[in-house]
Amino acid sequence: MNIYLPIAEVSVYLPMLLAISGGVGLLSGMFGVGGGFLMTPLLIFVGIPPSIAVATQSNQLVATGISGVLAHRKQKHVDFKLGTAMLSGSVVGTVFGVYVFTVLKNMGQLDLVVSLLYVTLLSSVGTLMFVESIRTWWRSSKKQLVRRKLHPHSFLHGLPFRLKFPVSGLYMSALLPAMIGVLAGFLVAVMGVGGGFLLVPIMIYFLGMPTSLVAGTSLFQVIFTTALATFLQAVTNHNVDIILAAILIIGGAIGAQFGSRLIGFLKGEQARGLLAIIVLSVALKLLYDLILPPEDLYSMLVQK
Amino acid sequence: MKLVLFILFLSIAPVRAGPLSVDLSSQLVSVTTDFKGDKIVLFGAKTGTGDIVVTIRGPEENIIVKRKVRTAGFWIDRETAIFPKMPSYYSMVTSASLKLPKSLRQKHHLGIDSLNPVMKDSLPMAEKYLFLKALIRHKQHQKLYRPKTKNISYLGNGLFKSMIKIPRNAPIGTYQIDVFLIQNAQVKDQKTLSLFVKKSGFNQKISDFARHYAALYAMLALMIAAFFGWAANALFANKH
Repeated sequence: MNIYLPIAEVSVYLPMLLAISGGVGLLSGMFGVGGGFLMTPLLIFVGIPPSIAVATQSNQLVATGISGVLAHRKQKHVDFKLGTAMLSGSVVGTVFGVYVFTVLKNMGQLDLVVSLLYVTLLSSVGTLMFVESIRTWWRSSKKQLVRRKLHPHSFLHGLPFRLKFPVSGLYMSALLPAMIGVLAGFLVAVMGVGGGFLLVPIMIYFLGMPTSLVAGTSLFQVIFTTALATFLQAVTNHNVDIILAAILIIGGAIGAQFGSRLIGFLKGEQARGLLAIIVLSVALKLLYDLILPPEDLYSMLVQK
Repeated sequence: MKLVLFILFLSIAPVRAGPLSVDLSSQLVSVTTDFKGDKIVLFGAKTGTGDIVVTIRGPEENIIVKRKVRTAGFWIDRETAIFPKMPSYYSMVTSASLKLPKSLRQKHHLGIDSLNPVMKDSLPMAEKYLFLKALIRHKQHQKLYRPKTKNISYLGNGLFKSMIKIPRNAPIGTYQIDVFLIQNAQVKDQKTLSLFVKKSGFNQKISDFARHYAALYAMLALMIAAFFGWAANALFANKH
């Protein structure tokens, strides 16, 4: 059962595509991340041209984000004020990111840069999460009373535009979430990820947001950055494949719903540890590909 | 005026002047959503003796071949060779184990080793050859440069036919089919036909929409995403 994708100009095996998006959707439902960091390399692996994979993946993440935010909003788990502060930066980051993406594509070095970004970001985030989950598990098994110090206040917190963020119970310069937003927006455009895997740890450890609010607020942000990235990519590079996007969205939405039910079976730090392992595996595989001598030194590219 | 009309008439009629006449069962291959490839029949007639050689060349494309070099621990694409106007698809059919002289093969591009690419760069010849070999290897792996076949049937009275298989991953565009009548290592006659591989109405409409109305296309893509995002939540949310 093959289906021809008109923009990607390749024919793909439909059941496999649904299985991949369903599987990644399952993970995103479990952990509250978009899953883009896993989906985009998988799409490239099954033969979708990288540029189309990144842009179409942004489209799918809009759906994931909306579905997630609606679910979290019911439980009041979204800090819209903070999210909006981040958004002001993300818009800038996304626009800049699409520009860089186009330049790299024309230079022919897009694949390399995207691979390097994935490797560095995924390995650092994966390691941090893994270490943190081990530490939490260690502490809880020792039954120690943990007096966590409130997040450290760096000079960044004292920058101008200081605002109160009542939902999260924080008081800091609005420029701080804005700068984080710039980074997230940039990554969305260049890597085809939602940015969640990076935002979530930053929000917890650096901003000090309560964990329950992080997933929903991050997804709120993801909706707008991915929507903007999708729009810019479609208009600038014409590389969003609407048929592929529809397939991924359907598979992902179904998978996510099952995933959010499965999460009840795991403890918090076990889930984070598992996610950390997945993230690190992807990072290692990509590093492996970059470092080991390739099967074929030559690669071919058709100039469009 | 009459001359113009006459020439126009010649260009639309199936080619038939000279000892060789050829035609195709269909000039259009429509790439639909469930496209699995297609089969076109080339048929024709020859008067007198001679062997038939057919070459099928897909639309031209500019191909860039890169070579990785180990830089600072990573394997990075560093060296490039550009091959402009290469056929995106190539296959050849002959009626017998013809041994054709190299000059003839080179002149008419008979065979994958006679594609004669023009290379735009300053690499030495030996290097360029390595890049070309890599290009051919990749194309063969994608099944776009096919091995020679002997897929021609002679039906008597000079009639012949050959089945041309268009693969599933055939590039979109205009294919050039050259039919040669060869005798004594010389081309007695040659005819050229065009085959159009196009995206089906639906697929082509989507491509055009994406390219020419990009902003609207993007809005549509976003609305689809928004709808399914909302639907997934609405359908499943209460079942927790």
